[in-house]
Amino acid sequence: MTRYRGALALLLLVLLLSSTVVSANTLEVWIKDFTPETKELFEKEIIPRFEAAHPGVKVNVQFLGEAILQKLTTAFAAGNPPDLFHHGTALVPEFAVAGTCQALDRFIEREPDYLADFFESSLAAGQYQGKTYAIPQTVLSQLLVYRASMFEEVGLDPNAPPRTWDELRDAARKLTIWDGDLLERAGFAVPTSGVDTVFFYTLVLRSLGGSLVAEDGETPAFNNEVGREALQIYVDLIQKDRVTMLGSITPAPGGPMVTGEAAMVIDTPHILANIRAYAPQIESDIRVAPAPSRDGTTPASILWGVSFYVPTAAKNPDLAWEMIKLLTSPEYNLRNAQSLGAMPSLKSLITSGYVQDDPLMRQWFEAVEWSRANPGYPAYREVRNKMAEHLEMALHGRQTPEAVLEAAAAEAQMIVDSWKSR
Amino acid sequence: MRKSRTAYLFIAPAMIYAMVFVLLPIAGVVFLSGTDYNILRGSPAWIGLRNYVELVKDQRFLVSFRNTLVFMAGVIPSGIVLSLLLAVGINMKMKGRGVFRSIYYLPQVTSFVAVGVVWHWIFEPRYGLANLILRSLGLSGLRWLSDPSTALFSLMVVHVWKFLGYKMVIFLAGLQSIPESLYEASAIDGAGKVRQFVSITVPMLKPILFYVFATGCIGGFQVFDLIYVMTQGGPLNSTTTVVHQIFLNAFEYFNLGRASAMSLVLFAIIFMLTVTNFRLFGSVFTGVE
Repeated sequence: MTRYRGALALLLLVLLLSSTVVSANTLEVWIKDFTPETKELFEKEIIPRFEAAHPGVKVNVQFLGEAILQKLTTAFAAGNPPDLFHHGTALVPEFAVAGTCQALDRFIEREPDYLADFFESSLAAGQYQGKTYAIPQTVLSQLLVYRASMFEEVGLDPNAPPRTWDELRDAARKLTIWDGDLLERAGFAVPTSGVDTVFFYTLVLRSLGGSLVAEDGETPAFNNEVGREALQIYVDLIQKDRVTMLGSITPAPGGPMVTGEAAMVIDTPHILANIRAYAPQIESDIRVAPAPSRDGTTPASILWGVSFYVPTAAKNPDLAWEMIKLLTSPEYNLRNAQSLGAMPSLKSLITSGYVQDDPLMRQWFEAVEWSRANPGYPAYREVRNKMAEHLEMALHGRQTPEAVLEAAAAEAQMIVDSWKSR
Repeated sequence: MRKSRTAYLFIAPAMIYAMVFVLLPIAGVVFLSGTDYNILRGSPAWIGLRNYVELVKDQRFLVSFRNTLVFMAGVIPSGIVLSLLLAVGINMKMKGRGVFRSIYYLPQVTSFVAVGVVWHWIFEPRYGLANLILRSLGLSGLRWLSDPSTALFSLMVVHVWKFLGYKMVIFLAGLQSIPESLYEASAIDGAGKVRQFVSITVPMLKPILFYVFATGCIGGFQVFDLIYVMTQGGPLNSTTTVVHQIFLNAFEYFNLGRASAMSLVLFAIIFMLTVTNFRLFGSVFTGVE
């Protein structure tokens, strides 16, 4: 035993050193949104290119989908987060206040022109109290998407889509087909459950000139006349006009436009990717237009997309920043967006074939100019989740819009106050 | 002494596992339930019983508790009766018994995600199998998962279906341990199949019935996977359960203090229920005072 003690000790030392060396030189990247094309792009090009440019560095990418948030929270609690991860900007205020993610201004200051090509609204979504915490990789705007043939079928002109909410309701009523008590075709499919109800309500509210929050960015500001008007439009679409049905119309991927169960929806360019994947025969029938508004001049669109964050406890923040620069370079920004069916986050890429050659995509790209992200404050996600429950009460006809907004605003204020006191 | 040391050595791995992965986390939850711990922020601050006081006033938690009780009341008796009848049927001497046993056990080994996707389509109002069957019987279809009055019932159906095979296998093992001579003697005395089932099968299965009932109660209180996959607690919170609320508070709102308080309340209820089960039914089912 004594003979081997020295060898064992040496082996243990080597193992310990090698594990330390491996973890210090491994860049951990967690990706939320991906497709097989995205994975191939990373594995065949991005990772080898980065490793060639940074000898001795190994890149480990995990593709996590929706499970990323749970994995992140446990990683943060354990003090072992990745060096770089990818998520929507809803988390920016919470992570900023908790100190979980670091401000990237110290990197940005070294490269003054780096942010110039990003959409301002997209950059703003990644900022909190004047500091930048997230760099956008993709952006998604919203447009009214409709089927030209269905318009013609009921005597509507597909070249003159509805511009106001009244015009939309008229068109939707004509386009809707009921088969007894089952909806065969929704004239205008809207979300009727979950947080999507808050997003749709926000869009309607903004199109009427209202806002979810006051100028301080967090006090609830929807319990007023315009807030009630917006919710009444939403409720009437379901209860009075009956142009959509409570509950999901189909669990099919891509939603009811893909299955032909809806004539109009408001959606991001993801719908185009789904149509191309599951129902390419209807692509030539698809038209888009700005979403309706009060008088047709103030369409609203919520800005979506994913951005890159660097955790405060990242072991390799400088390498993470180098990877962000590579992933947001025009070449990979575009190709990654293409793989996701999303839009690149760089303004200059409007001249790319991906945008210019596709008249539909070009309109979504142009819509980014008037798109704004959801409110950005620490309590927003909790407020949003609980507000959805209140909105559902109105959509199901269980409570009036007035009562619902009263309750939702009171609870939202309570949540905001509770976050401030933590 | 030497034998004791050897015995402790053998049970040490299990004891260490229980300490590290069961007892210590429970102690951690007890501590955290008295704090305002936000999982992102680091150090928790002590707030005493405030989380528990707020729970009593929390309408969502109370609704989730009610939903959980209703869920259990639906799945436990129906699950036991159906799986027992299935086990009795499978236990008969017939060709292909092994194949049927495997088929009925398949849902047990299928992931909740796959089960959720398939049943979503079965419950789809327009094309789903459930409404096709209803319409073929001259009845109108239901909105199943989209209707607050039928959503929880829909989940109960899926839950009973998923665990039917598991309970069936347990009952089957019990049935096969009942001596054939009892049935032969009762047949000689003129007992029919139904009388044999009531007077021989059920009494002889009492220990297994108690086990299935007790574990069903524990499992019923912890239902989460189906809710997460199929309804996310909606519509109108009609399917949210206690564990679903714990998940939301811990991983959506990062409020681990509140989630820990809910977990402790759930733990206390399951513990009292299990003790009550043993006190009330343990002697009846096991024959031990």
